[in-house]
Amino acid sequence: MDSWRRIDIDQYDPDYQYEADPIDAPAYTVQQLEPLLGEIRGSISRGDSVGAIKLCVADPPYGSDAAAKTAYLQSVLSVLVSVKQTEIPNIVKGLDVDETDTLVKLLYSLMSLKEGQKSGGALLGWFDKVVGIVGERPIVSYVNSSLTL
Amino acid sequence: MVSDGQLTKLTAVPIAQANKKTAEVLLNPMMISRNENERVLIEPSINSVRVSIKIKQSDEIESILVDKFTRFLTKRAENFLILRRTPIQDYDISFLLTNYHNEVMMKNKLIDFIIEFMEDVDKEISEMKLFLNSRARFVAEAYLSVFD
Repeated sequence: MDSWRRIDIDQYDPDYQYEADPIDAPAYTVQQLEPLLGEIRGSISRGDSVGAIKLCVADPPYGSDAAAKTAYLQSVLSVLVSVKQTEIPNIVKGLDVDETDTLVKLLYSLMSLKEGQKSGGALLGWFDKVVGIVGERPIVSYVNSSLTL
Repeated sequence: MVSDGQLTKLTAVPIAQANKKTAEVLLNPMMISRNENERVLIEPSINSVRVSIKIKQSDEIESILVDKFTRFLTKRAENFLILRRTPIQDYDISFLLTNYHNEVMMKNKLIDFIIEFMEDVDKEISEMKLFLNSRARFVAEAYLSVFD
């Protein structure tokens, strides 16, 4: 074994041993999410943007794997992009505390996704209006949340 | 869980820097992006915040200018307390704000500074680009007038 000098011994340091707390959320696969995503798409095509947003923020797949999360975020993105900027304030006013928190969480997750960055203007428009209406609470809640997408 | 050994170190090290070592005390990072080429990453932790900026670079001249500009700043990082000497990967410039900076400087002024920096840097770069172009044109004219 010639490569023994290259072993990263720091990884065995007791201080580095960290296990994330188990997340109290069910793990869905992409197939299991499909009905929900179909319902969201249906709402957009019917022009029911309020219903689509409510579906998006109701139960995001926090405990799922990356593929399921990406599929979910892409549907959310299509909803957010399809809503006109002038309709946003009314939709946001119709959401309760938890729903706005989740919406901001989704916005942050989308902004770190390649697909979301392409339509960054629309996302920032949403973000601006949400913070303008409910204040900075959702940001603080996002920063401290253990449930992320 | 944070072990005792970690707890003693927590106050001495800016946690936003000590990535994997103490994942428990890191808060969720925030990425704010206008598009793929202009984004800001804010990594908060219990005692420090790291703010990294990706400056707009639409062509090669702009990337050179951004590189020179950020290098000019980072070379003087010791006079510029909150600036990191090397930006984190995929970003052009990084600031590290620790509890110490918060004690010696005014928090609202620090925030104002970073916002002002972000607002001005694009303007600065495009101004430099215009200046560079007009200078290049002048130089070319001066040299080539001989062959007229």
